[in-house]
Amino acid sequence: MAENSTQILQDLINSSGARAAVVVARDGFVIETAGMLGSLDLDTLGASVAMLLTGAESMGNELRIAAFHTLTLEASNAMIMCTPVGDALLVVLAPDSKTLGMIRLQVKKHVPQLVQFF
Amino acid sequence: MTVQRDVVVKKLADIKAVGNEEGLIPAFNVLVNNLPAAFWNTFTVRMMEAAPAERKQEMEDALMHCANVCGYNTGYGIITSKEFQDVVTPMVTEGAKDVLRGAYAVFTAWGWAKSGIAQIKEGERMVVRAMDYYEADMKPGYMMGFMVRGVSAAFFDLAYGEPYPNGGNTFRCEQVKGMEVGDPFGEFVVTRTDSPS
Repeated sequence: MAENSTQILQDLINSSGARAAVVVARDGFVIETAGMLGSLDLDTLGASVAMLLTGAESMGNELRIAAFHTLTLEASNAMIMCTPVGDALLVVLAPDSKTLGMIRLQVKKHVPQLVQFF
Repeated sequence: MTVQRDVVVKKLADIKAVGNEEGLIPAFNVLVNNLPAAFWNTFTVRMMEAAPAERKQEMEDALMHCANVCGYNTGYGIITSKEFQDVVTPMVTEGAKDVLRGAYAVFTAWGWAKSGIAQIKEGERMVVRAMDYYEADMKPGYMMGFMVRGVSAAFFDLAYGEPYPNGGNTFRCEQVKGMEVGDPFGEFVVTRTDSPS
């Protein structure tokens, strides 16, 4: 059992090449962060993630599909991957999608460890 | 859909909190006051310092109990208030869990502690994380987040204990991390009083 969630997030960043990782509760509360977030407003990020989650769940209900396990947003200068972790959501931020494969692999590896904390 | 924390905080921030002629602010079915956090922190540290070594635990329990009683009654006032019913209740879709999320959003909006739920096992266990809580500014050399401890046990009791006012001692809360001792956040774990510690 890993000692704490901060170490696991940091390990996820180091091993995947992601820029930052954030754990956000379903209500938008930012539970934990790791990596380079600069001057990012975390409360706004948390609120946006909560809205995104609500939207994804509504869409899933409408389309009658099972709960999502990965949500990926790709932009010209960023890649964001969201994965449920316990009752919260793990948000991984990367500068581009070049490392998408490695991030997917490392997220898959680290989520079971993170679940014990969230 | 669940409780959207930022919506609650923004709506509550718009509510005018004006003190009456006695300096008390009637809101959320209760009377609150507006005193600097430094006042309470100084009070807490002095109480702890005044206690002899063999009675520190007793003092700690007493301070936590004060917050617990306050949180239990104020918490009940909050979740049954018109403000809560108007702002939070329409977003409640996950029962007691959402009521708790709403309660922590109110706790944050009112400046008591920027806090929220990190993990919850309904009726059994809850982990709360807090930043910017009153005592975070202090450097006493020991964990002193008594307010968040007491209030968290009380909130969980309101959600899963005996109906108010017959609950109050069903849960306890331990602080496992504290900004006042150098951790990046405060962490508080609520468990049943009848479970092994």
